[in-house]
Amino acid sequence: MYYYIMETAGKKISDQEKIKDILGNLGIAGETVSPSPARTIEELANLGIVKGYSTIVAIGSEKIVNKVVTALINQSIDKDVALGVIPDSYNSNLAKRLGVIDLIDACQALKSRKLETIDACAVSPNKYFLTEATIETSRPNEIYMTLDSTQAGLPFHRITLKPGLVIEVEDWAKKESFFTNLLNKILKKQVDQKDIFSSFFKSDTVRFDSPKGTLSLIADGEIIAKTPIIAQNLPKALKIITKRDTISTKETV
Amino acid sequence: MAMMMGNDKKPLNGPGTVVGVNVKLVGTLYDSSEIVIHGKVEGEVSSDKMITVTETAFVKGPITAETVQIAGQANGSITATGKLELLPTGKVYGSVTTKDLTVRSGAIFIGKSNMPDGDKGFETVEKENEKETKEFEA
Repeated sequence: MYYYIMETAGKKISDQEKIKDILGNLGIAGETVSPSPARTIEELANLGIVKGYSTIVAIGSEKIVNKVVTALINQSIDKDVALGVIPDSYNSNLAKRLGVIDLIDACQALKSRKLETIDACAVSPNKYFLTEATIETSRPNEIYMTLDSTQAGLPFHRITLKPGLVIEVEDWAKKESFFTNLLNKILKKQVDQKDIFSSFFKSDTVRFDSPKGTLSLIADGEIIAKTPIIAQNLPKALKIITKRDTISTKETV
Repeated sequence: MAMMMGNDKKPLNGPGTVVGVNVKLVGTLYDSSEIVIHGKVEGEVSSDKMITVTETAFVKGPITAETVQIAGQANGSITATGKLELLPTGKVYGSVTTKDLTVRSGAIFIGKSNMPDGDKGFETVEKENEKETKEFEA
Protein backbone atom coordinates (compact mmCIF):
# COMPACT_ATOMS: atom_id res chain seq x y z
CA MET A 1 0.00 0.00 0.00
CA TYR A 2 2.78 2.47 0.95
CA TYR A 3 5.65 3.27 -1.39
CA TYR A 4 8.42 5.33 0.18
CA ILE A 5 10.86 7.46 -1.80
CA MET A 6 13.66 8.39 0.56
CA GLU A 7 16.12 11.17 -0.16
CA THR A 8 19.45 9.79 1.01
CA ALA A 9 21.70 12.76 0.22
CA GLY A 10 22.77 14.40 3.46
CA LYS A 11 20.90 11.85 5.54
CA LYS A 12 22.72 9.47 7.91
CA ILE A 13 22.13 5.73 7.49
CA SER A 14 21.09 5.58 11.14
CA ASP A 15 18.40 8.21 10.47
CA GLN A 16 17.15 6.23 7.48
CA GLU A 17 16.98 3.07 9.61
CA LYS A 18 15.21 4.99 12.35
CA ILE A 19 12.47 6.08 9.95
CA LYS A 20 12.08 2.50 8.67
CA ASP A 21 11.88 1.21 12.27
CA ILE A 22 9.16 3.71 13.22
CA LEU A 23 7.15 2.88 10.09
CA GLY A 24 7.56 -0.85 10.79
CA ASN A 25 6.46 -0.44 14.41
CA LEU A 26 3.38 1.45 13.27
CA GLY A 27 2.57 -1.35 10.83
CA ILE A 28 2.88 0.82 7.72
CA ALA A 29 6.18 -0.46 6.34
CA GLY A 30 6.29 -0.72 2.58
CA GLU A 31 8.64 -0.70 -0.36
CA THR A 32 11.39 1.85 0.17
CA VAL A 33 13.43 3.22 -2.72
CA SER A 34 16.05 5.93 -3.04
CA PRO A 35 17.04 8.05 -6.02
CA SER A 36 20.35 7.36 -7.70
CA PRO A 37 22.12 8.51 -10.87
CA ALA A 38 20.34 5.63 -12.61
CA ARG A 39 16.84 6.36 -11.27
CA THR A 40 15.57 9.90 -10.70
CA ILE A 41 12.93 10.82 -8.15
CA GLU A 42 10.35 11.30 -10.93
CA GLU A 43 11.14 7.87 -12.39
CA LEU A 44 10.82 6.23 -9.00
CA ALA A 45 7.50 7.96 -8.38
CA ASN A 46 6.23 6.87 -11.79
CA LEU A 47 7.32 3.31 -10.99
CA GLY A 48 5.34 3.40 -7.75
CA ILE A 49 2.24 4.56 -9.61
CA VAL A 50 2.68 1.84 -12.27
CA LYS A 51 3.09 -0.78 -9.54
CA GLY A 52 -0.32 0.25 -8.24
CA TYR A 53 0.60 1.72 -4.87
CA SER A 54 -2.18 3.87 -3.44
CA THR A 55 0.16 6.04 -1.37
CA ILE A 56 3.49 7.48 -2.46
CA VAL A 57 5.44 8.93 0.45
CA ALA A 58 8.22 11.46 -0.11
CA ILE A 59 10.83 11.42 2.67
CA GLY A 60 13.15 14.43 2.66
CA SER A 61 13.32 18.04 1.54
CA GLU A 62 10.71 20.09 -0.28
CA LYS A 63 12.70 19.45 -3.45
CA ILE A 64 11.88 15.72 -3.37
CA VAL A 65 8.27 16.49 -2.43
CA ASN A 66 7.87 18.83 -5.42
CA LYS A 67 9.34 16.21 -7.76
CA VAL A 68 6.98 13.52 -6.46
CA VAL A 69 4.10 15.99 -6.79
CA THR A 70 5.12 16.61 -10.41
CA ALA A 71 5.08 12.87 -11.12
CA LEU A 72 1.77 12.32 -9.34
CA ILE A 73 -0.01 15.14 -11.15
CA ASN A 74 1.46 14.20 -14.53
CA GLN A 75 0.92 10.45 -14.24
CA SER A 76 -1.94 9.72 -11.90
CA ILE A 77 -4.70 11.82 -13.43
CA ASP A 78 -7.16 8.90 -13.50
CA LYS A 79 -5.68 7.02 -10.56
CA ASP A 80 -6.49 7.50 -6.92
CA VAL A 81 -2.97 7.94 -5.56
CA ALA A 82 -2.35 9.94 -2.38
CA LEU A 83 0.82 11.77 -1.39
CA GLY A 84 2.38 11.29 2.03
CA VAL A 85 5.27 13.36 3.34
CA ILE A 86 7.89 12.86 6.01
CA PRO A 87 9.66 16.22 5.92
CA ASP A 88 13.28 16.65 6.93
CA SER A 89 12.56 20.00 8.57
CA TYR A 90 9.65 20.53 10.92
CA ASN A 91 10.00 24.31 10.76
CA SER A 92 9.29 24.27 7.04
CA ASN A 93 6.12 25.67 5.49
CA LEU A 94 5.27 22.19 4.27
CA ALA A 95 5.47 20.65 7.75
CA LYS A 96 3.30 23.47 9.08
CA ARG A 97 0.82 22.89 6.28
CA LEU A 98 0.65 19.18 7.11
CA GLY A 99 0.35 19.96 10.80
CA VAL A 100 3.20 17.65 11.84
CA ILE A 101 5.71 18.63 14.49
CA ASP A 102 8.28 15.81 14.46
CA LEU A 103 9.21 12.51 12.83
CA ILE A 104 6.94 10.35 14.98
CA ASP A 105 4.06 12.77 14.44
CA ALA A 106 4.62 12.62 10.65
CA CYS A 107 4.69 8.80 10.69
CA GLN A 108 1.56 8.59 12.83
CA ALA A 109 -0.18 10.98 10.42
CA LEU A 110 0.64 8.52 7.61
CA LYS A 111 -0.91 5.71 9.61
CA SER A 112 -4.09 7.60 10.48
CA ARG A 113 -4.36 8.51 6.79
CA LYS A 114 -6.53 11.58 6.83
CA LEU A 115 -6.77 12.72 3.22
CA GLU A 116 -7.10 16.33 2.25
CA THR A 117 -7.46 17.64 -1.28
CA ILE A 118 -5.14 20.55 -1.84
CA ASP A 119 -4.22 23.06 -4.52
CA ALA A 120 -0.88 23.00 -6.29
CA CYS A 121 0.94 25.57 -8.38
CA ALA A 122 1.83 24.52 -11.91
CA VAL A 123 4.66 26.11 -13.80
CA SER A 124 4.85 25.64 -17.56
CA PRO A 125 5.59 23.27 -19.11
CA ASN A 126 5.14 20.60 -16.42
CA LYS A 127 6.59 21.47 -13.02
CA TYR A 128 4.56 21.68 -9.83
CA PHE A 129 5.15 22.87 -6.31
CA LEU A 130 3.19 22.79 -3.06
CA THR A 131 4.83 25.35 -0.82
CA GLU A 132 6.49 28.34 -2.42
CA ALA A 133 8.80 29.42 -5.21
CA THR A 134 10.71 32.67 -5.55
CA ILE A 135 12.23 34.95 -8.16
CA GLU A 136 15.08 36.94 -6.66
CA THR A 137 17.46 39.51 -8.01
CA SER A 138 20.66 40.89 -6.52
CA ARG A 139 20.32 44.28 -8.21
CA PRO A 140 17.36 46.61 -8.90
CA ASN A 141 15.23 45.01 -11.56
CA GLU A 142 11.79 45.23 -13.09
CA ILE A 143 9.42 42.51 -14.15
CA TYR A 144 6.17 42.59 -16.08
CA MET A 145 3.34 40.64 -14.55
CA THR A 146 0.26 39.70 -16.57
CA LEU A 147 -2.88 38.50 -14.84
CA ASP A 148 -5.52 37.65 -17.43
CA SER A 149 -5.72 40.78 -19.61
CA THR A 150 -4.11 43.11 -17.08
CA GLN A 151 -0.45 44.02 -16.94
CA ALA A 152 1.64 45.51 -14.18
CA GLY A 153 5.21 46.78 -14.15
CA LEU A 154 6.87 45.78 -10.89
CA PRO A 155 10.21 46.95 -9.54
CA PHE A 156 11.27 44.13 -7.21
CA HIS A 157 13.98 42.28 -5.42
CA ARG A 158 11.93 39.21 -4.51
CA ILE A 159 8.69 37.74 -5.81
CA THR A 160 7.20 34.79 -3.93
CA LEU A 161 4.54 32.51 -5.36
CA LYS A 162 2.54 30.70 -2.69
CA PRO A 163 -0.18 28.03 -2.74
CA GLY A 164 -3.41 29.25 -4.27
CA LEU A 165 -1.21 31.40 -6.52
CA VAL A 166 -0.78 34.19 -4.03
CA ILE A 167 1.84 36.56 -5.43
CA GLU A 168 3.89 38.58 -2.97
CA VAL A 169 6.15 41.24 -4.47
CA GLU A 170 8.88 42.86 -2.42
CA ASP A 171 10.15 46.08 -3.92
CA TRP A 172 13.86 46.88 -4.11
CA ALA A 173 13.08 50.21 -2.44
CA LYS A 174 11.86 48.26 0.59
CA LYS A 175 15.19 46.47 0.80
CA GLU A 176 16.93 49.83 0.69
CA SER A 177 14.54 51.20 3.25
CA PHE A 178 15.41 48.24 5.49
CA PHE A 179 18.90 49.68 5.86
CA THR A 180 17.45 53.16 6.34
CA ASN A 181 15.16 51.77 9.02
CA LEU A 182 18.09 50.03 10.66
CA LEU A 183 20.06 53.27 10.62
CA ASN A 184 17.08 55.13 12.03
CA LYS A 185 16.79 52.49 14.74
CA ILE A 186 20.46 52.90 15.63
CA LEU A 187 20.05 56.68 15.64
CA LYS A 188 16.80 56.17 17.56
CA LYS A 189 14.80 58.17 15.03
CA GLN A 190 11.05 57.74 15.09
CA VAL A 191 9.79 56.86 11.62
CA ASP A 192 6.54 55.64 10.14
CA GLN A 193 6.89 51.86 9.74
CA LYS A 194 4.03 51.44 7.24
CA ASP A 195 5.12 49.31 4.30
CA ILE A 196 3.95 50.93 1.08
CA PHE A 197 6.41 49.07 -1.15
CA SER A 198 5.17 45.48 -1.01
CA SER A 199 2.38 44.24 -3.25
CA PHE A 200 0.04 41.26 -2.90
CA PHE A 201 -2.08 39.72 -5.62
CA LYS A 202 -3.99 36.53 -6.21
CA SER A 203 -5.01 35.06 -9.51
CA ASP A 204 -5.63 31.75 -11.26
CA THR A 205 -2.84 32.35 -13.76
CA VAL A 206 0.13 34.67 -13.95
CA ARG A 207 2.83 35.36 -16.51
CA PHE A 208 6.15 37.03 -15.76
CA ASP A 209 8.34 38.64 -18.43
CA SER A 210 11.68 40.20 -17.66
CA PRO A 211 12.86 42.83 -20.14
CA LYS A 212 16.30 43.07 -18.50
CA GLY A 213 17.58 39.52 -18.96
CA THR A 214 16.46 36.09 -17.85
CA LEU A 215 15.25 35.48 -14.32
CA SER A 216 14.81 32.12 -12.59
CA LEU A 217 11.97 30.76 -10.49
CA ILE A 218 13.47 28.75 -7.65
CA ALA A 219 11.76 26.21 -5.40
CA ASP A 220 13.81 24.82 -2.51
CA GLY A 221 17.12 25.76 -4.14
CA GLU A 222 16.28 24.31 -7.52
CA ILE A 223 15.51 26.29 -10.69
CA ILE A 224 12.12 25.13 -11.94
CA ALA A 225 11.55 27.73 -14.67
CA LYS A 226 13.07 30.73 -16.38
CA THR A 227 11.37 33.83 -17.76
CA PRO A 228 8.99 34.04 -19.46
CA ILE A 229 7.32 32.13 -16.61
CA ILE A 230 3.69 31.06 -16.70
CA ALA A 231 2.27 29.81 -13.41
CA GLN A 232 -1.20 28.51 -12.76
CA ASN A 233 -3.18 27.53 -9.71
CA LEU A 234 -4.46 23.97 -9.89
CA PRO A 235 -7.38 23.70 -7.49
CA LYS A 236 -7.84 20.33 -5.77
CA ALA A 237 -4.91 18.92 -7.70
CA LEU A 238 -3.74 16.36 -5.21
CA LYS A 239 -4.75 14.22 -2.25
CA ILE A 240 -2.31 14.59 0.59
CA ILE A 241 -2.13 12.89 3.99
CA THR A 242 -2.30 15.37 6.85
CA LYS A 243 -2.39 15.06 10.60
CA ARG A 244 -5.79 13.92 11.85
CA ASP A 245 -6.49 16.90 14.06
CA THR A 246 -5.39 19.44 11.43
CA ILE A 247 -8.15 21.88 10.62
CA SER A 248 -9.30 21.18 7.10
CA THR A 249 -11.86 22.66 4.78
CA LYS A 250 -11.62 20.08 1.99
CA GLU A 251 -11.60 16.72 3.71
CA THR A 252 -12.30 13.80 1.38
CA VAL A 253 -12.06 10.79 3.73
CA MET B 1 -5.88 38.35 -0.25
CA ALA B 2 -7.73 37.84 -3.41
CA MET B 3 -7.75 39.45 -6.76
CA MET B 4 -9.17 38.77 -10.13
CA MET B 5 -8.30 40.63 -13.24
CA GLY B 6 -10.19 41.11 -16.46
CA ASN B 7 -13.89 40.61 -16.96
CA ASP B 8 -14.23 37.35 -15.03
CA LYS B 9 -15.31 38.71 -11.66
CA LYS B 10 -15.17 35.43 -9.77
CA PRO B 11 -14.99 36.18 -6.05
CA LEU B 12 -12.02 34.84 -4.11
CA ASN B 13 -11.69 35.06 -0.37
CA GLY B 14 -8.64 36.33 1.45
CA PRO B 15 -7.10 39.22 3.33
CA GLY B 16 -6.83 41.61 0.37
CA THR B 17 -4.94 43.01 -2.59
CA VAL B 18 -2.18 45.55 -2.17
CA VAL B 19 -0.66 47.57 -5.01
CA GLY B 20 2.77 48.83 -3.99
CA VAL B 21 3.87 52.44 -4.40
CA ASN B 22 6.16 51.79 -7.38
CA VAL B 23 3.70 49.55 -9.20
CA LYS B 24 1.88 50.70 -12.31
CA LEU B 25 -1.11 48.54 -13.11
CA VAL B 26 -3.32 48.76 -16.19
CA GLY B 27 -6.60 46.82 -16.30
CA THR B 28 -9.47 45.80 -14.09
CA LEU B 29 -8.76 45.17 -10.44
CA TYR B 30 -11.33 43.24 -8.44
CA ASP B 31 -11.19 41.70 -5.00
CA SER B 32 -13.93 40.30 -2.84
CA SER B 33 -11.85 41.51 0.09
CA GLU B 34 -10.07 44.81 0.77
CA ILE B 35 -7.94 46.61 -1.82
CA VAL B 36 -5.20 49.02 -0.82
CA ILE B 37 -3.58 51.11 -3.56
CA HIS B 38 -0.28 52.90 -2.99
CA GLY B 39 0.74 52.98 -6.66
CA LYS B 40 -0.83 53.83 -10.03
CA VAL B 41 -3.86 52.05 -11.42
CA GLU B 42 -5.47 52.76 -14.76
CA GLY B 43 -8.78 50.95 -15.04
CA GLU B 44 -11.78 49.89 -13.00
CA VAL B 45 -11.23 49.08 -9.33
CA SER B 46 -13.92 47.26 -7.40
CA SER B 47 -14.23 45.43 -4.10
CA ASP B 48 -17.05 43.88 -2.11
CA LYS B 49 -15.60 45.46 1.02
CA MET B 50 -13.22 48.40 1.16
CA ILE B 51 -10.93 50.31 -1.19
CA THR B 52 -8.23 52.56 0.21
CA VAL B 53 -6.45 54.97 -2.13
CA THR B 54 -3.47 56.12 -0.09
CA GLU B 55 -1.58 59.41 -0.27
CA THR B 56 0.89 58.14 -2.87
CA ALA B 57 -1.75 56.55 -5.10
CA PHE B 58 -3.25 57.63 -8.39
CA VAL B 59 -6.30 55.90 -9.82
CA LYS B 60 -7.72 56.69 -13.24
CA GLY B 61 -11.02 54.87 -13.64
CA PRO B 62 -14.23 54.07 -11.77
CA ILE B 63 -14.04 52.88 -8.16
CA THR B 64 -16.78 50.76 -6.60
CA ALA B 65 -16.89 49.31 -3.07
CA GLU B 66 -18.87 49.25 0.12
CA THR B 67 -16.45 51.65 1.80
CA VAL B 68 -14.03 53.93 -0.05
CA GLN B 69 -11.31 56.04 1.52
CA ILE B 70 -9.38 58.49 -0.64
CA ALA B 71 -6.12 60.06 0.51
CA GLY B 72 -4.52 60.13 -2.94
CA GLN B 73 -5.88 61.12 -6.34
CA ALA B 74 -8.85 59.52 -8.06
CA ASN B 75 -9.91 60.53 -11.55
CA GLY B 76 -13.26 58.90 -12.32
CA SER B 77 -16.55 58.08 -10.71
CA ILE B 78 -16.71 56.62 -7.20
CA THR B 79 -19.59 54.51 -5.93
CA ALA B 80 -19.60 53.57 -2.25
CA THR B 81 -22.65 51.59 -1.14
CA GLY B 82 -21.67 52.27 2.48
CA LYS B 83 -19.35 55.16 3.17
CA LEU B 84 -17.05 57.43 1.20
CA GLU B 85 -14.40 59.48 2.93
CA LEU B 86 -12.13 62.08 1.35
CA LEU B 87 -9.15 62.65 3.61
CA PRO B 88 -7.31 66.02 3.77
CA THR B 89 -4.80 64.93 1.10
CA GLY B 90 -7.47 63.37 -1.13
CA LYS B 91 -8.29 64.66 -4.63
CA VAL B 92 -11.32 63.45 -6.53
CA TYR B 93 -12.11 64.50 -10.08
CA GLY B 94 -15.39 62.81 -10.98
CA SER B 95 -18.85 62.13 -9.67
CA VAL B 96 -19.40 60.35 -6.38
CA THR B 97 -22.36 58.24 -5.30
CA THR B 98 -22.86 57.33 -1.67
CA LYS B 99 -25.30 57.50 1.20
CA ASP B 100 -22.59 58.65 3.61
CA LEU B 101 -20.06 61.22 2.40
CA THR B 102 -17.33 62.78 4.51
CA VAL B 103 -15.06 65.45 3.05
CA ARG B 104 -12.24 66.44 5.36
CA SER B 105 -10.82 69.94 5.38
CA GLY B 106 -8.17 70.26 2.67
CA ALA B 107 -9.61 67.61 0.35
CA ILE B 108 -10.29 68.53 -3.27
CA PHE B 109 -13.52 67.37 -4.85
CA ILE B 110 -14.45 68.45 -8.35
CA GLY B 111 -17.54 66.69 -9.63
CA LYS B 112 -21.12 65.83 -8.88
CA SER B 113 -22.29 64.28 -5.62
CA ASN B 114 -25.24 61.88 -5.66
CA MET B 115 -27.00 60.60 -2.59
CA PRO B 116 -29.28 57.77 -3.67
CA ASP B 117 -32.28 56.61 -1.72
CA GLY B 118 -32.08 52.80 -1.33
CA ASP B 119 -30.55 50.21 -3.69
CA LYS B 120 -32.74 51.27 -6.64
CA GLY B 121 -31.36 54.74 -6.27
CA PHE B 122 -27.82 53.31 -6.54
CA GLU B 123 -28.71 51.47 -9.75
CA THR B 124 -30.13 54.61 -11.36
CA VAL B 125 -27.18 56.74 -10.32
CA GLU B 126 -24.68 54.08 -11.42
CA LYS B 127 -26.18 54.14 -14.93
CA GLU B 128 -25.84 57.89 -15.00
CA ASN B 129 -22.27 57.61 -13.72
CA GLU B 130 -21.39 55.10 -16.44
CA LYS B 131 -22.51 57.61 -19.05
CA GLU B 132 -20.51 60.35 -17.36
CA THR B 133 -17.43 58.12 -17.09
CA LYS B 134 -17.59 57.39 -20.82
CA GLU B 135 -17.87 61.10 -21.52
CA PHE B 136 -15.02 61.79 -19.08
CA GLU B 137 -12.78 59.17 -20.74
CA ALA B 138 -13.67 60.47 -24.20
